Amino acid sequence: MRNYIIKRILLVIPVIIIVALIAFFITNLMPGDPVRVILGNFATEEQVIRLEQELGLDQPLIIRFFSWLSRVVRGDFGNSIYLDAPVSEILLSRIKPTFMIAVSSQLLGLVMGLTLGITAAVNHKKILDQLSIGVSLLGISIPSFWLSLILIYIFAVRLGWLPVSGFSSFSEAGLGALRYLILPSVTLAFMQAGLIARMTRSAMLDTLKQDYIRTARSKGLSAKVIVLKHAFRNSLFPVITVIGHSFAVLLGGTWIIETIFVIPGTGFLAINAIMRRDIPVIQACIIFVAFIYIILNLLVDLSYGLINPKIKYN
Amino acid sequence: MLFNKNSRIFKEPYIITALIILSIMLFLAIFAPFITEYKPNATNPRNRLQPPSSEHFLGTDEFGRDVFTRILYGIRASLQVGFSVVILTLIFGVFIGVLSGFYPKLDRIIMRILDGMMAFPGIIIAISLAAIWGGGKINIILALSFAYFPKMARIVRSSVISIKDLEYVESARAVGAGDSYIIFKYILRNAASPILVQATFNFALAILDEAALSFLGVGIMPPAPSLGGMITDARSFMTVAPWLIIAPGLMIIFSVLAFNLLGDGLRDFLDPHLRGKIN
Repeated sequence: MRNYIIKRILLVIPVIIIVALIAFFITNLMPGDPVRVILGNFATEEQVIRLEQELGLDQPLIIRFFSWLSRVVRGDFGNSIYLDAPVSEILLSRIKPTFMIAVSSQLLGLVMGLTLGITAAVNHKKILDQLSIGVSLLGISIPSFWLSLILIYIFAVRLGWLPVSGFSSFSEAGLGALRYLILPSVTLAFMQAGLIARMTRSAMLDTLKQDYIRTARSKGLSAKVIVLKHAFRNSLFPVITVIGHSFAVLLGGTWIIETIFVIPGTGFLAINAIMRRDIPVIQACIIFVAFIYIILNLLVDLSYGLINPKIKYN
Repeated sequence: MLFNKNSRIFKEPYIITALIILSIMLFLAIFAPFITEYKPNATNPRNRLQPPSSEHFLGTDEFGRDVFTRILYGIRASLQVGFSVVILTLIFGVFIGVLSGFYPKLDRIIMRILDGMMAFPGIIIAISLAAIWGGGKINIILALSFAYFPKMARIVRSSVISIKDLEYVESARAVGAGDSYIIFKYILRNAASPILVQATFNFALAILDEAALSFLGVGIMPPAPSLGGMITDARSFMTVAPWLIIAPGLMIIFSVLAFNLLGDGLRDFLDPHLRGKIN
């Protein structure tokens, strides 16, 4: 077990290097010379060369990558070109809203997804099954940006129950902060619920066919005990895996949703940085998402042993 | 494999429903110029923001352009992007997947690179690349293919690995078949089901992500019609002309839903064991 954990953690290192490599090269392929952007149109050739040397941009790309990587490893992403502050500080100040939205959508999505998935599997091939298949299919097929606009139109513009956009934290607005969280979270949760419900349903269907379920049934256990205690627990693997993967999709979703709701999180920061070609910020935002994904999937892998002690890690 | 038993595949309700929706979409996309008398970019300022009428089936937008016409051409663009992405993803995914699955020495390196690429949600890679390359149909096709092919490569790889040591492959090798012959004749043919299912889901994803990119302004560039772009335009007029936002969204949902349904249907039809592995 301990060997497995160490090996699994070591395996993360090459992945992180590849992630950094991708983040670096994607952003350095951007057209437009950052030096000329900074200096403006009237810069002389000498000024350009001098600033290039100062920023180290005259070095070959591969050397720049390694010096950049050594700084990134220490948490130094450089300075934002537009916001005139260290990128790491900017990113940290933006994490809270994203975290609140991501976690609330994930929880909401989980509750909806598990309910839909278990209901479907238990009522296999009956009308409730068809219904929850339909809802979860819709969940993964509706563009989140469209759904959010429709919800804004109904609940903010027409009914006036919720704010059109914006964000407030619990420390500022107390429970009033919930009003800002509802629409973005519901939008993202619907997609999550779709993914989770589909996986839960198929995992449950597989488990319900197993011999031990038949044994439990013939022992006369109640349907509730069989479904929740025997079947659901043994269906947790694929469900937890899909949660690990879909959280990254969720973070990708926040890029769009935060832009629509004007929420000052990392996604809004990323989209604005992309539009303004603020390369250090883009790099940091991309790496942030990938990093969360890697950590989460590491935890998912390690949690398998806790759910099912029979697993020997080989 | 698919059509020699075609009597059965056309009895699957999911597949039938999906194929009906998709044929309608395809018909609308191909025959757009004959279905509508308007041009997608023809403006008519005097007729701006008209509600649906007999003249303008779904009303007009802020430049007086016919919304129904723009939707037809928007579907055309979505299907073009989706189809191209599926083909490119197949080419790259199968090539990399076969290399990785068939040659264990390459496998370790390729898998680490793919792991790294898959740590990014596809939409994030696609947004970044599309923004760098400057949007446009070709660029978003490339960006989305780049974002999707690692998953395809992984699926191909695991099929190749499960097939390559089977006895019939061994016997083919024993009678002197070369690598490329074995790959094309035996392995790819038997790995076709998961590849086909994933390709169908990729089609759905590509339509969804193309719409998101166009919505953000890094996809298909205005004034060229796209369903996502129409939603961006409609957003500013949501209070005065809410109908503008409904129709393009419903079209995205229909087409994405149809491909997801087709993917589910094909997966259950071709290989029920895949359920839960590809989603």
